[in-house]
Order: sequence, then structure tokens, then C-alpha cells
Amino acid sequence: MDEDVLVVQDLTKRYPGVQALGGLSFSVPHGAFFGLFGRNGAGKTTTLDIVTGLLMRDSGHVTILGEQLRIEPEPQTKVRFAYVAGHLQLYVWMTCREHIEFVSRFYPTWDPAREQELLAMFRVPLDQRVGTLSTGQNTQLQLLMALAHRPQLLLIDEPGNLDAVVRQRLMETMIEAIAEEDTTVVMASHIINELDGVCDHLCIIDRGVALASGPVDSLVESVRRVHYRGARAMPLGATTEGGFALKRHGDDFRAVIIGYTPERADALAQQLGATDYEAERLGLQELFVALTEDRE
Amino acid sequence: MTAPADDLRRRAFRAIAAMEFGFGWRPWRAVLPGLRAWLLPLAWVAIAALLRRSIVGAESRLTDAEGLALVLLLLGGTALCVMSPVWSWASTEPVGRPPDCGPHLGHLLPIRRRDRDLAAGIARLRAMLVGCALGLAMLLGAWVLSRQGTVVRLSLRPLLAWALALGPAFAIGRVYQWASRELVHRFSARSAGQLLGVLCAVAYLCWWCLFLLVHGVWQATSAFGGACLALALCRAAFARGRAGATVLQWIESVRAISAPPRRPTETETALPAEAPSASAAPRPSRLSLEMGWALCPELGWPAWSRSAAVIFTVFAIVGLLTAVGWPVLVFALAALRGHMPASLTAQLAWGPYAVLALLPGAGVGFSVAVCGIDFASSRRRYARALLPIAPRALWRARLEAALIYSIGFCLLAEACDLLGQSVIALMTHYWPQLPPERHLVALAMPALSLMAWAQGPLMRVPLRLFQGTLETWGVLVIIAFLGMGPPVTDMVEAHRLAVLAAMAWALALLFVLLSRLTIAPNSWPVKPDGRLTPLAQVAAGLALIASFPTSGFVLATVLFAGMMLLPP
Repeated sequence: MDEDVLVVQDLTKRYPGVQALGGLSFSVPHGAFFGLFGRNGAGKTTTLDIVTGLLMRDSGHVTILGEQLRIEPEPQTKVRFAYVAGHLQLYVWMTCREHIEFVSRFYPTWDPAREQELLAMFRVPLDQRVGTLSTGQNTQLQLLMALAHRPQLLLIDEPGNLDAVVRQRLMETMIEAIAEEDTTVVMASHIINELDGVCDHLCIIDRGVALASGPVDSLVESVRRVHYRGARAMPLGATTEGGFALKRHGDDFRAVIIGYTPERADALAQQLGATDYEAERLGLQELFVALTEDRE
Repeated sequence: MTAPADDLRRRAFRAIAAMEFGFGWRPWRAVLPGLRAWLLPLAWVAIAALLRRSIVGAESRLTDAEGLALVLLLLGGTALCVMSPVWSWASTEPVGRPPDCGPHLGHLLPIRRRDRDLAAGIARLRAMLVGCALGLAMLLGAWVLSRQGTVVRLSLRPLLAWALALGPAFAIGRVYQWASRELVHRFSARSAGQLLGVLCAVAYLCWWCLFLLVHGVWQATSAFGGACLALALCRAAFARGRAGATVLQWIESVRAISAPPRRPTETETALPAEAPSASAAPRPSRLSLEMGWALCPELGWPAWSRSAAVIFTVFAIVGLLTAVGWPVLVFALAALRGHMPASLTAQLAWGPYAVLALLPGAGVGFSVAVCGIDFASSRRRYARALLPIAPRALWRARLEAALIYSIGFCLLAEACDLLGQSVIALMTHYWPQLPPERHLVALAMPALSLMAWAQGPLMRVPLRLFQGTLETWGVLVIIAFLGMGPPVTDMVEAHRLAVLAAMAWALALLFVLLSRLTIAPNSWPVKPDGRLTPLAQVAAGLALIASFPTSGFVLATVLFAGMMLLPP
């Protein structure tokens, strides 16, 4: 049970003229709240679409809930995960009630009591046609259908247009599901601060490659922003092993060092000829910005 | 914890069955597609019949009972097909994965793809068979009534034709599904689109060959069938292959227009001013045309439904004006001459008929234009706010699009009309003794259209034009076989019509090609300066030459091959 529920290895996907994924790798441990973060166009949706079998990959390996993915997951696997995504089309001609009824019949684990709870939680107009729902209502309907069959793995792609109340309830529901039912949650988002303190594992991707991946605590611990004072020159080879991004800031330099150790900070200080430096821990938001903004 | 596969499969099929019988039927779901498919053409048949009877007093072999049965047959069959929830499900179910389909919840449901396809296929088949069975029952009933108790003599020949038409239709549907699913994932969208086009073309040609060989009217009908489907397929294949690029091109053009004028550098200001390049940015008035071409195959049925109201309005207005105006014109001419010659009587009979033939084509054309117009309208706020296009220019562009497409497709419809006549002429020449069968054969045409339509994905993107022409032809055949059109029994006349038809096809195809050239001035087969590339010139020339030996098939094949094989 402790194995990773989702393993992505060297995943590549190319759209005409665009390399969406360029060898993406990460793994999601069982029972984690996993944040897949990236800027717009980073490849989050493509990744989740491939993982769920909605899109074919060019190369790479995906293992979802123990099944090595070939083209799309087997029904026995599909029944154990749920995917909520804004771009997912539903049967627009059905009413919400019909849609829920139709989908529920596919899942042996569908829980009617849970369905009622979720109906009370989300504002789903049961007698309205799906095609007439707003974006937020559509997402809520998808969430209801996803959570009501108690999936072992819940994948959510940018749950957009949810009001603050629903968003809060959703977070609580997911945390509850993780705690009580061993559900693993993977949420893709470009808004990292809303999951700060919620997700325990994350992967930051940009242009289809993972910039950082792992438990949040160790990631935050391993990255520091270092202010160098009295520096004389910009060193050559600014992306050395472990990686760091260097910026001039007034008379000083600032470096974000990934895989921070005092020794590495000292070495860089010597290269810069700095008289003094100060290392600063970063929050998730700052970490995200620091990692992605210098890749323009 | 893991559910057995068999249990999941049973559960999935039960879920689909439960949906079919549990949700109840929604009659209004049938209204729009039913209207679009059959009601309006039939309404025009009825109007034309009434006009002929009331104004000219011409004999019509369409008895009241038959007319009623026909309407009921087509309405009932169509309605029955589309009213069922499972029909709606099968229609919206993303069978296969064409690139324009997008991710759908149906892909995530725990059911294997082949089972889902099977369930959708069964649903379609069931709905269609029920519709056809009911329609046939009504037809036979009406036939018996109209003959006042005469026993219907059914021969094996039309039944065989039905069987031949039915089987390959489904087989081809499966081929298409397989192709759309497998090929698109194995090749790029462009090559997959072209492969799909080739596959469908080959499959349909085989179907037509088989079907028509049995009926002994191979030459003329294959010319028609081959021409219209090859045209549709080459357009579709290129649409699929090119749509992405064209949309990108449009976006680029919008970006080019939207971008603020760059301040020239000193070096540039020192240089003599050059004439603005044609490729720098398309003229604003061309935008909606580009949008139309680019978006038409991508928008799919929703575009049809959005534009349906417009199409029907145009149908109604044009049809009404013509149906009323044509006899008025003829009578006015007769009054001027002081007498009503026999030829004018014939003209009077032809008027609504000819317009009737044009209307579906005009509708198709207009709806295509509306795709662009509709897109432009839906983006109007943005266009006004962001694009440096004056609203008047935008409206001009829309009107221009509507005009060009309407004229183009009117020509196509006219070609269909002529070809339909040639087919009818040849059929009536070779097979004059057809009292019971010909009604069934006539009905086989709309049935084929309905079946093709029932294939859903088969018709969704690539064969829309084919559907339009088939429907047109279906209506023509109905009219002709039921005696509303002027009977043409002379072989010479038939041959003459076939020549005319092929020429009309050539003109129509060339017109479409040329309108395409004017629409996308920087894309193949047009050079940046607006001239045809040499290969395109050869293709166009060959097409024109090929039109003269009376075979639209040859013409279309040349065009098809030319468009397929020539480099972009």
C-alpha cells in the first residue's frame, strides 16, 4: 500500500510546433496531497490528460494505481480514480440529475449517502441541463461525481470559478478524504499560495520539465535565497551543479540556490568576491516564482 | 477492492440501457434535426405539388395518401431516431478520438473503448431500424391505400439494394471510427486527416460501385457519387489537415493587425518606402472569410444548430419568393406575349423544382458562411475592443462571406440538380418498368442519407458537404420518381444532361477552388503574389478538360488527387 500511486517517467508530448512535455518525471506517494504547479502553458493539463488516458504520449512511462499505462487505463483502474478538469466535456443534453444517475451506475463503489452529502455541499441545480451550467457549476457537478464513488486517486486540474465557500469546502473534503479514506489527491494549479499549507508533496514544472519535485518540507529546506553584499563581478557558469539563478539587485547580488548547503553558498560568495551574505528561506509562492521567473 | 472486469462491463451496458429507458423521451430533441434533415425539403415538395396542381392543373402522380405517407415516413423515422436518449448519448459519445473531439467524460468512464463503441453502435442501429421499420410500414400502408387494395408486389432487387446499402454503410462507419481512433494517434493531424479522407473515399467508392453495379446504372450514378464524395472528402481531408494551421494563421493575422505600428528605426526611415507586402497582414474584409474556412470544419454541429435559424429563414424567404414569384413572372411573360405557350407551362412546372434543388445547396453555403459570421459575431465585443477593424468593415466581410459561399454552393447544388436529372434519365431509360420498385428505390436514397447521418462520427466532420448533396439528391430523386419533375426518358436527353452536369461540376469545383484562392491568398496553391502555382494551374486545367468526357468522377478524381498529392 505504500507504493507510489502515480509514477511519471520521462514523459514527452509534442503538439504541432510546441514541445509540451520534455521528459517530465515525478511520482506521487500513496495518501499524499500532491500539488502540480506550473505557469500557464507549463504542461500541467497535458500531463494529467496523458495520465488519465485522454491523450496519447509520445514517449515515457506512466504507472497509475499500479497499472503500467499503455493507451488508456483498464476499466478496473478507471473505476478507482477520478479526474476533474475544466476542459472535460460532459453530456450536455442530460440534466444534472440524469448525468449523476447515469455515471453512478458505472461505479460499484458509488455511495448514495456520500452523493447526498455532496449535493448538500455543492450547489448543483439537479433539474438544469448540463449544457446550461456555468463554469463553476460544471466544476461542482464534476467534483460531486468524482467524490461520490470514493476514488483512491483524485486528479483535479485547475478547479476554476469556484466561489470561496465551495473552494473552502472542497479543500476540507479532500483533506478529510485523505485522512479517512486514504485517498491520494493530485491537484494541478498555477496558483500556488492557495495550496500553501495544504499540499505535502509538490512538483513544479515549467515548459514540460520538472524544476523541483518532492516533499514540500524538504524542498523548502533545500532552497534558499542568498543575498551577497559587496560582490565585485558576475561569475561565469551561473547554472552550476545543483543550479542557482543569480540576479543583480542594486549593488548586491541575489542568488536562489537549489540544493542549498552553507558550503555552496560560501563557494559562490568567493566566486562573486562578496564580503558578506545572508541566506533566506522561501515560502512556496516565492519558491515557485524564483524557480520559474528566470526561465524566460 | 478491484471490481472484476466482467462485472464492470455488465454494469456499463446496464447503465446505458437504463439511460435509454429511464430518462424518458424528449420529443423536442427531434424537432431541429428533423426539420433540418427532411421537413423543409418536403415542405417545398408539397408546396411545389400544390402550385402545380392549383396553378397549372398538372397531373401529379403523388397522391394524397402517398404524400402523407412520405412525410410521415421521413418525419417519423427521423424523429424516432433522434428522440431516444440513447440516440443523443450515441451522438455525443466520443466514439474514437478525432482530434477535434476533445477530452470527454465518456473516455473516463470505466468501460473499454470497444465496448463503448459497441454500445453506441447498437444504440444507433436500434434507433435507425425502428425508424426505418416504422417508415416502411407507413409506406406500405399508404401504398396499399393509394392503390385501393392492390397487392404490393415486392421483388428481390430493391431488397438486395437495401441490403447492399445498409451493410457497407455500417462497415464504412466502423472503418472510419477505427481510422479516426488509430490513425490520428499514430500520425500527425494533417497526415491522419488525409489518410482518413483516402480511406473514406475508397470505402465509399467501393460501396457506390457495388450498389450501383447491381442496379445497372453504374456510369452516371458513379459519376455523381464519386464526384460529390470526392469533393467532400478532399475538402474534409484538407480541412482536417489544415484547420489547425489555418486557425493559427488567422490568429497570427489578428495579431498582426492588433500589433501597434512599430516605430521605424533610423535606418528604415532612410530607406525608400516599399509597397506594403500582401503577406504582412490580410485585409480586414477578408477576416471573416478566413474564419469561415478555418472554423467551419472545427465548429461541428453546434455551428449548424446556431446557424439553423438563419438557414431556415433564408430557405423560407427565398423559397417563398421563388415559389410565388416564378409563376408570377411566367404569367407576366405570358400576358405580355398574349398567350400561354406550352413551353411556358413546362417552365412553370420547372420553376419551384429548380429552386427547390438550389435551396439546400444555398443553405449549406449560407451555413458555412454563417460559421464565419457567427464566430465574428461572438467575438464582436473583442473585435471592436481589440481589433482595429471598423464595425462596417466587419459587416461587409460577413456579407461578402455569405455571398461568396451562397453563390458557390448554389452552383454546386445546380450541378447536383443536373446530375440528379441525368441519373434519373438514365434510370428511366434503362429501367422503364418499375411501378412497385421505383418507389422503394427512390426511398432508398433518403434512407441512405439517413443511414449515413446515423453513423454520427462518419458525418460529423468530413462528410458534411456530402450529406448536403446527398440530401439534395435524395429530394430530387423523390420528386422525379414520384412524378413531380418532368419525365425524361430520352437517352439523348440523358446524355446531354450528363454532359451539362459534368460541366457544372467542373465549374462549381473551380469556383470553390477559386474562392478558396481569394480567401487564403497566401496559402497553397496560391503564390504570395496571388497567382496559381504551376501545379495548381495544371490541376485546374486537367479538371476542366476532364469535365468534358461527361464524367464528374474523373474530374473529381483529378482534383482530389491533385489536392492530395501536391505539396502544401
